[in-house]
Parts: sequence; C-alpha cells; structure tokens
Amino acid sequence: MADIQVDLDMLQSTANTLTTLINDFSNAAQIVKDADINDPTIGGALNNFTGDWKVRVGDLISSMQTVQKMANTGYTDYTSTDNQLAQQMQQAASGSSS
Amino acid sequence: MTNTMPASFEPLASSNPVPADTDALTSLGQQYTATANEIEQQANTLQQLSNNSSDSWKSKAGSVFVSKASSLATRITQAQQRYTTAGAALTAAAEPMYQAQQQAYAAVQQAQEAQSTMTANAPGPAPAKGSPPPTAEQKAAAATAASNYSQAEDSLSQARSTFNAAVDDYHTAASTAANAINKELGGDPLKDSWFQAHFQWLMNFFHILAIIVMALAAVALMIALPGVGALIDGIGLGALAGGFSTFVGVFGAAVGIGQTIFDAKAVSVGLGTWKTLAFDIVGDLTFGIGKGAEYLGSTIVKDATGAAEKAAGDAASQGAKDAFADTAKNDYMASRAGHNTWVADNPDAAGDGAFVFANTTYSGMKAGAQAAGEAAASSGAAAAAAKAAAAAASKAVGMVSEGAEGSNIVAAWSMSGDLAEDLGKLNAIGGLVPGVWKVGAGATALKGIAGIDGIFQLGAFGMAGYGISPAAG
Repeated sequence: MADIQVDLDMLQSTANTLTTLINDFSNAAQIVKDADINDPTIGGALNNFTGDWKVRVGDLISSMQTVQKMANTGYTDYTSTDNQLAQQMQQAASGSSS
Repeated sequence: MTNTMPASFEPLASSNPVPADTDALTSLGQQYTATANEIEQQANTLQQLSNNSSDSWKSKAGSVFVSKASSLATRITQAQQRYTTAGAALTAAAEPMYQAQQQAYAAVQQAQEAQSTMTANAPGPAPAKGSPPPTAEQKAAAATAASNYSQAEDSLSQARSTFNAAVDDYHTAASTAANAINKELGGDPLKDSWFQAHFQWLMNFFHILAIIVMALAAVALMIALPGVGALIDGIGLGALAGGFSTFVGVFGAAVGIGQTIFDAKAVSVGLGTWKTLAFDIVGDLTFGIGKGAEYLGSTIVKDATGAAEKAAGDAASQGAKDAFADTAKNDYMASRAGHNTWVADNPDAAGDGAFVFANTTYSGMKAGAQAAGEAAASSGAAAAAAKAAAAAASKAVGMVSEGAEGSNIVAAWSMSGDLAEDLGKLNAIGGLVPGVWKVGAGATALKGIAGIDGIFQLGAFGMAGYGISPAAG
C-alpha cells in the first residue's frame, strides 16, 4: 500500500481561506452597497466590478466550493479517523495491561 | 484642521458636488487589497497541494484533490488581479478626494461669510429728493460699507475659484480610480461574454415569442376545424385564413430556429442543457410539436446549468472533437448525396415541394419548405403520419438527450443512431408530407449552429440526426 502523508494544517487553512473567498465573491455586490461610497463615478466602476462577471464568478464559486468541501472533508475525516484509531489502541493497550 | 461638510453649498453650488465618503473608500480599498492577498496566498497553497512532488497530501484521496486544486489555482489567480487593481485604485483616490473635499468645504464657508458681509453692507436706496445731505458720520459709514462690500466681493470670487479647482481635483481623482478599475475589467478573462451578460433577457424574449407562437398556432388550428373552415370560406375569407396559417407556420419555424441557435449557444457556455437543445431540434422538425411539448410541459431551461457543466467538463479532447467534426461532415455529405439521389429516384413520393440539398441556399430551402408545406396541408392522412413519426422522433431525442446529460459528447454521438433512424422515417414519409421541409429547416438551423464559436460538437451531434438516407425508414 502506498504511503499516506497529509499536511492537516494546510488542508484546514485551505478550507478556511476558501470559505472566506467564497463569501467575498458571493457578496461582492452587497459589500459595495454596504460600503456606501456615495460617489457616482466610482460607484459606476464598482457596479461594473461586481456585475460584469456574474456567470463566470458563479462557475468559479462552484469550483471553489468543490475544493473547499474536499479539503474540509479530508481534514475532518483524517482527524476523526486518527482520533478513533488512537482511542481503539488506547483501549487495546488498557486491556492487555490488566 | 478638519473642515466639516456644510449644510448647504450655496452660493457656490445647489448641491454637494464632492459627495464621496472617503473613509468608506479607504476601507473598501483596503478590503479589496486584503482579498487580493488572500487569493494570492490561496493560489500558492493550492499549487503546493496540487504539486505531485509535494509532500503536503500524498494518498489516493490526495490524487483526486490534485486534479481540482490545480485548475482552481489558475482560475482564482485571474480574480486576484481585478481585486489588486480595484484596491489600489480606491486607496489611491481616497486621499486626494478627501483633500479636495476639505478645500471645497472651506471655500463654501468663505463664500457664505462673504455673502453675509455683502448683504450686510449692500448700498442702501438713494436718498429721497429734498432730504438733508448726509452727515460726515453717515458718509464715513457709507464708505466703510462700500469697502467691506468690495472686499467681500473679492473674497466670494476667490472662494469660487478655489471651490471650482477643488471640485475639479475631486473629479479627476474619482475618474482616475474609475478608469483604472474599468480598464482592468476590460481585459479580465473572468468578465462575462456578451451572451452571458444578456442571457436572461434573451431567454425571456424567446419565452414570450414561444407563447405568441402557441397562441397563433391555436388560432390557426381553430380556423382549420372543418366547420370553422367552411364558415370562413362562406364569408369569403378563405384566402386570408390560408395566408394566416402560412404566416404562423413560417413565423413559428423562424422562432424555433432562433431558439435552437440560442439554446445551442447557451449549452456551449454552460447556461443550457442538451435536453433543451434536443427538444428544440425536434421542435424545428415537427413544426413546433416538440417545442410546444416543452413549453407546455416544463421549465426545462431553468434547471439548465448543472448538467451542461458536467457535459462541458467531460467533453472529449480537442483531437476527439476534431475527429467527430470530420466524421459528422463526411456523414452529412454522404447522406445529403443519398437524400438527393432518393429525391431524384422518387419524384412522385418526394412531391412537388421536395428539393435537393446540393447548392441549397436559405431562400431555396424556404421556397421548398413553403411548397412542401402547402402540399402537406392538402392531405390530412399524410399529416397524421407525420405526427406519428414526429412523436417517435421526439421520443428518440429524449432518450439521446437523457444519455447526453452528465455524460459526454461520445455518448451523444453514439446514441444519436436511434434518433437518426426515426428521423429517417420522418424523411421517408410519402410525398405530401413535408419531410424534406423538415430536414431543410433542421439543416438551416444547424448551419447557424455550426457557425457559432466553440460548439461545433453540437453540429456533429445534430448532423448525425439529420444527415441520413431517406431509405432508412
């Protein structure tokens, strides 16, 4: 069987950062609205900024969600499996010593 | 010293010409810059994770992750540049816009004070005739007032100049920022295409057209009822009714072809489904029967994106696509020749309206279509046969489209044989059935489809269905 080597911190960090970026991209228009710049010239440019990639950013967000889910699942499942294994080994060790 | 925004900009302006919240501008700029940094960091991490030589994630699951992470790293890097540019532009604009606002506020204050001074020192009315001459004290007061008035006038003029310069500076800074953002967006690969940006209203437009066609078709059907037809003939409107029916047929076909091209393009950019396109093609083939079934029965277009994405994601390699295109072209050419031979050998069966594909033009197809349609209209029995065959074709297209969704072009291609067989039956129906018309309309649609950038695989799919020998039926 092949070796398994996982940088769990990196996986967790990836999942978290992707979550932040997904929120930033998804709420881009709302962020501009909340900022309330109150200048028509810059406001127009910012409307272009948030509105000219609706379809493609939707695709991008979908891809980011997929990778985020994979990273998150990888992190939680590896961690959970390791914890369960440790618990079973602890129980086995306790049983043999008694 | 900070100048606060005046409640009124009179006498220099009727409203605030420098309205931006520069703190918000700075804050948003910093937020965008932070997002750009996060994107860069994330792209680097994803590249590291997806690097096969990396020890970050070595396992079978890691291998699956690599395929997705690598592609994503490239795509989010494209988004980084737009955030970097916007963040820098907003941050750079905030300070000069703030300074311009301060100058403008100060100028307004100066102008308002000058205005007050001028009002207070404005020359009074001329003394009435016969009134006593002014005293020395009154003369001195008048001279002081005149001097104050003059100074205030100068101050107001100076304030106006300062104000105008500040407003200019403000707008220059704002325009510089806006231009930088718009310039970046102009070359951004993540910017939606024209079709993507206008997809929604185009879809609504075609829905409305489809409803109009359905309504017109319903009227045409009522006119065609035996009793109604006799009645219309009786009052001398038979020719008008016939013209109306012809118009509905041509209009419906044109709308159907337009919808087909629209949906084909939608599939190519991930906004439509194979199923919708297949229904369109059946609709074109059956004078709207398939189209009607779709619009009455479902809102298929609305659940478009997922399956199309899968199909696009699983699409064959460029080499395979090229091979399909070549095969499709060859099959189409061969079947076209076969069709022409059949029409030549079976002139009676093909009917007066039949036309051959060779050297056909759109107007030629249209003329043939109209002639065939008129011939078909005179035979109820043949029309019934056409309807039955159309139903079979519709079923076959449904099967093909189900197979194509979530699969790939290879599946669509191989399964299109069923469609071809049933379309062959359509084409082989007796001379009064506008089978040739149907193929002609479909071919016209496919000419449009084939001309659309990036979706020649759809042409391959469709040509397999259309480019068949009439003898197949």
